[in-house]
Amino acid sequence: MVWKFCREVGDLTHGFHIRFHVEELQLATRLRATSLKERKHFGGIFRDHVVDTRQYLEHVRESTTGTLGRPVKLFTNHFRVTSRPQQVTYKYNIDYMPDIEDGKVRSELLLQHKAFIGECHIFDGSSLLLPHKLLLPKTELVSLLKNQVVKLTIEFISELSPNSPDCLRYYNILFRRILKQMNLKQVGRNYYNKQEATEFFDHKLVIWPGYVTSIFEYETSITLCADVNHKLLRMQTAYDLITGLRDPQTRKEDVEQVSKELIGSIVFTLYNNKTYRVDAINGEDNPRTKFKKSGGAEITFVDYYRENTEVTDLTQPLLISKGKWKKSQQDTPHKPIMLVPELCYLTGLSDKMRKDYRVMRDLALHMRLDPERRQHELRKLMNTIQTNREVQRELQLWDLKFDTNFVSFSGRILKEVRIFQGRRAFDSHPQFADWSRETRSGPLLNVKSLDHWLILYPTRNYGAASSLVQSLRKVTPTMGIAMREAKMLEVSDTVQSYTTVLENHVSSKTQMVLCVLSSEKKDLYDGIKQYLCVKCPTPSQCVVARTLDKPQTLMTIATKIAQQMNCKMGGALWKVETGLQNAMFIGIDCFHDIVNRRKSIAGFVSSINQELTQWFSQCIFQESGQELVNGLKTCLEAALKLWCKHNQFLPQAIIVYRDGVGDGQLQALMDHEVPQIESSLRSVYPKDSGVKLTFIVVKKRINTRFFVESQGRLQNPLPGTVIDVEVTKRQWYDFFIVSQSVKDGTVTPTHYNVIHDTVCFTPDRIQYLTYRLCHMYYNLPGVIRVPAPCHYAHKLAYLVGQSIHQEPHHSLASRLFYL
Amino acid sequence: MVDNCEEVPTKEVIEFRPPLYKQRYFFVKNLVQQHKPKKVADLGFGDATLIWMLKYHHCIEHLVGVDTYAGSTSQWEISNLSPSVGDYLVPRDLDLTITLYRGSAVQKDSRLVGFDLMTCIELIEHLDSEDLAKFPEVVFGYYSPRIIIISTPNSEFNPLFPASTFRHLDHKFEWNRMQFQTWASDVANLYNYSVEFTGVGSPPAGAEHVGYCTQIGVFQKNEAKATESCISTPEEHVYETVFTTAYPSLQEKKNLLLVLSAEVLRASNSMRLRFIVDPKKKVNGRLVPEDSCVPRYGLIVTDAQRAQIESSPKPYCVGKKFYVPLERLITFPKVNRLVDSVERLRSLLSEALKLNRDQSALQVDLHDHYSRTMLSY
Repeated sequence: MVWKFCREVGDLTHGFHIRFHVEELQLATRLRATSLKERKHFGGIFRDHVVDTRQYLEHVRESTTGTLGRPVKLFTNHFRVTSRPQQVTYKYNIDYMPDIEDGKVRSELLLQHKAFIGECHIFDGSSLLLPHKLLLPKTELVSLLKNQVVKLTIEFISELSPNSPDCLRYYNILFRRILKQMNLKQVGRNYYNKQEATEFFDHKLVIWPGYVTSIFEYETSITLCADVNHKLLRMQTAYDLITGLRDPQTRKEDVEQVSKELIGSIVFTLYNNKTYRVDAINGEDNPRTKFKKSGGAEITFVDYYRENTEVTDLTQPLLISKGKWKKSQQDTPHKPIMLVPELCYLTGLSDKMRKDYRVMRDLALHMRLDPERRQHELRKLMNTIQTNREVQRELQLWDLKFDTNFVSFSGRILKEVRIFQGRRAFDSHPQFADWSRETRSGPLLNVKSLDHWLILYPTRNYGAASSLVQSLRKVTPTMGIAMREAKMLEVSDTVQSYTTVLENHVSSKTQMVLCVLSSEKKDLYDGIKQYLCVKCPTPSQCVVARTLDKPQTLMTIATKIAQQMNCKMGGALWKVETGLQNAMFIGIDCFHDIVNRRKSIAGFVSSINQELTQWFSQCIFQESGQELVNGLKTCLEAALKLWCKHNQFLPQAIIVYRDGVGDGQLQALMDHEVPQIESSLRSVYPKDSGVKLTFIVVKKRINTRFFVESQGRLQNPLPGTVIDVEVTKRQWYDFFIVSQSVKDGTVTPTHYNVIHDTVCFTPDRIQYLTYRLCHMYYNLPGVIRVPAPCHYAHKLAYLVGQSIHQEPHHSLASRLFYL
Repeated sequence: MVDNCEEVPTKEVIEFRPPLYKQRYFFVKNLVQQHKPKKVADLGFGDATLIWMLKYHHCIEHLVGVDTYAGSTSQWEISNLSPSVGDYLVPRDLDLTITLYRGSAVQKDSRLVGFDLMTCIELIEHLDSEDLAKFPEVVFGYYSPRIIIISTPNSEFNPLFPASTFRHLDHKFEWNRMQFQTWASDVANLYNYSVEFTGVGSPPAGAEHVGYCTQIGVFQKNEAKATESCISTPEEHVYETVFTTAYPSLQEKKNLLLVLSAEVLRASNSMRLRFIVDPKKKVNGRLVPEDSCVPRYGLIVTDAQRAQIESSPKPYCVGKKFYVPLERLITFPKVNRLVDSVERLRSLLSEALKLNRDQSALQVDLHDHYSRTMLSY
């Protein structure tokens, strides 16, 4: 754990800063996520929605609704569909001869026969939905594309009953068409209102507000789920970034540094309105380099672009793009494309911006809508739909109507959870879901004394290092940590220097290494972590000197570091009652380094003891972008072995929380991961052992939000709010929990889907258990968004994927070294 | 473009490279580049390809298409004629509106009067004799643009094609060069235009005598400009608007502010990085560079530009803030292109960025994340 990256600092900084940074991190990941998500096919979510996982769950046949807790009236950003076609509709397949790839052109060619198919139709690119039957089951038509003749064959496929899930797919397409009609600009898969753009002149940024929508069938009705979303436009080119990194004296850019900043980013080229992923930097060539045009003639880049734009710096390096990254094309070689940085506009948030406090503050203020503002924006959308004549005409053709008010129903607030820390017990704060004050004012649950430990610091940061030691000396006694003098070691600012010193001073007795870093250099951090996680496995803690600068926060930071080190050495901070005995909990999450096309890493974290204070961690390396985990069997067997060693018997139940699953993977999880686990249970347990398994899919990236009304205003629901009616699905055993608390903005609930459950949890029990697990994450004295094992798995996969890139040493596996 | 094209005659099918329709469009593009018209109309815009190609020309402020078959706007038109994200990132200097009308070239609509250029690409051969007779009076007489381009098939070329019929089913006639030139010259005389003939689609070797595959007449109005603006035509709206869109441009203040801020920050950033590593001295509480603090690359193209920057007031530093005098900023070519005076620069920047107290200089942080961690100082 470091004090370096936005996300890490978020977990570490104290008091109310925590909330801010945690949300910032969410904001940042969401921004990045949208670009990825945009490329995913909408069909993904749709596929999940038709998977019936509840049919195998006998115990919840009657109901998936719980009763525990205090009822509360909730609102959600869903709008009920109040009317829809009640007759049969007709589905036709459209075939093009010769085949046409471009969806727009396909639609264009079909629309040349509007008179034939009628005004009322929905076309998804290959099939057509009509409210009436065509005369013949098969019709051949001829369309013109420029001067080329294209033959269209319209062939009847099936009748769709009004209840067919396939209908919903067409309604979604129709709705997208409507958004387009409302003069919203389509970028990627979402629609944005450019009229309401906001400019950030000093950040060279423009933000367009927009909407994400989906129409699906839930418990009792079909609803339109709508949420607000933002598009970021950056008035900055790759060239600006490169010159910012150039050494002003030698005027030569550090190719390594430029690569670090640019590789993996998506750039946008104006001349053809296309986006490219930067895969490499070509420092050898420059815009004066010649290349072969399609006709075979050689031309320089400067001359090639001259007609449209002027390239002013002829010494800039070129960018290389290997073409679009597609899951299916991982192994096919791409023809690299050369790009001139000056003509490439940057998209999305860069790491640099994420580290810029001012940018993040301004963006957060603008993009983080509180419940009231969110409702206001969505009302605006619904009003436009009601009043726009063209939109109404289109909707009336299909007899589609939407309610204009948020769907409302009753949820439940679970009781605050009691935290046990040593002999003390206290409740989590009902509103802020936090116990930071309580946790630092008494002994920790399980204390490890610091007897043999090292502090490494760069010479010029001696001051920071020694004030940290002094503060640690002040804060540790209250927590019950016995701390001996650390060995203070001076280093210089290089990885080499740190590792040499470590090599000379780390012994088998060394319990902890604390490294003070002079700056936030990633390679330095990576180098140190690599050394201490793989070559010379020792728990370690890194701190950037600057975070120790402020005397007013030094004590809180020292407290945090002491707790952190205690956890990394195998100690424990607090525990909660789960009400479940002899169960092993597992958290799984994936980290995809699509940026560097490195292997994806799945973190697999399993509990070791009954109290859930010790966790065993394993990693699985798999193909780039792969979400489904293959090596589960080995991991589970190792996890069971360790649990058994620790408890003298095997657990009676295994409860898996699976995070990091993409849209459209639900069926694959059922077919692939659950059987893997079952088969390894069969091989480890004797026959008729009666071991039980519960498998829960955890989803954080969802568009459903919940609100409560208080004093006439919409507000965030309290932590512990559970939703298992109305917007859950009939075919699933699913529920939402709002577990964390946010200071501003709208809280995002987490969706849980129990896809396999031989433990036969009642809804109350599984909800209660899940909520409690959100209190067990040792890096934050508060409730987090997901159960602790999921977040541990995430931290592990992230550290391995971002910094170490190889399997951490097994001797660290039962420690929270990645915290 | 047209002259460079290679044609590859084969035994059976004559194939043009680039394709003939592209050659016609390139011909128009070249003419646009040459004459820089502000208002351009394409009569019979078809699939709007020419309109789409012309929207990239910076000189054009009004681009209009008229076609009898213009249906409700197709997706292609919406997506290709509407401003893209890039158009918002780099707004045009001048406004541009694109409008598509449903209507015929033989109907009068006052909104088409007063154009600089009108193109009728492969249009007249689709007109029946009655419409053809009305056509000159509407286009030449009523619309009366400065330049008119009319293209039509040259029937003398047809024997080189395998089929000996008209090139398109809807063609009412296909003229030989003599027929077209006679018609065109008569029309030009009648409406006081001069006309020049050319074409695209060169014949294959050995068949040079047939002339270009497409014959083109370029008509230029003879009368002086002053007279035309005096004529006021009564408003007469016959065409139905099927699509219209406006492009973002620097004429709109917020766009100008965005582009200007980005340019100014770019310039100040390059100087800031120089400043950090260059030798400095303390003068009256300010840290000033000993050298001229002119960035060595990019932004500046010529020596004269460099000299101008060098002679302007130097940036300086007070505490953790870096200041760039507006008088220096305005010497940067890309800033100067956007605003012409320091006063204007000041009034604009004061709305977008942070200036010092007396509003004589831009204020930014001396260090950012990169310079703090990467540059040794």
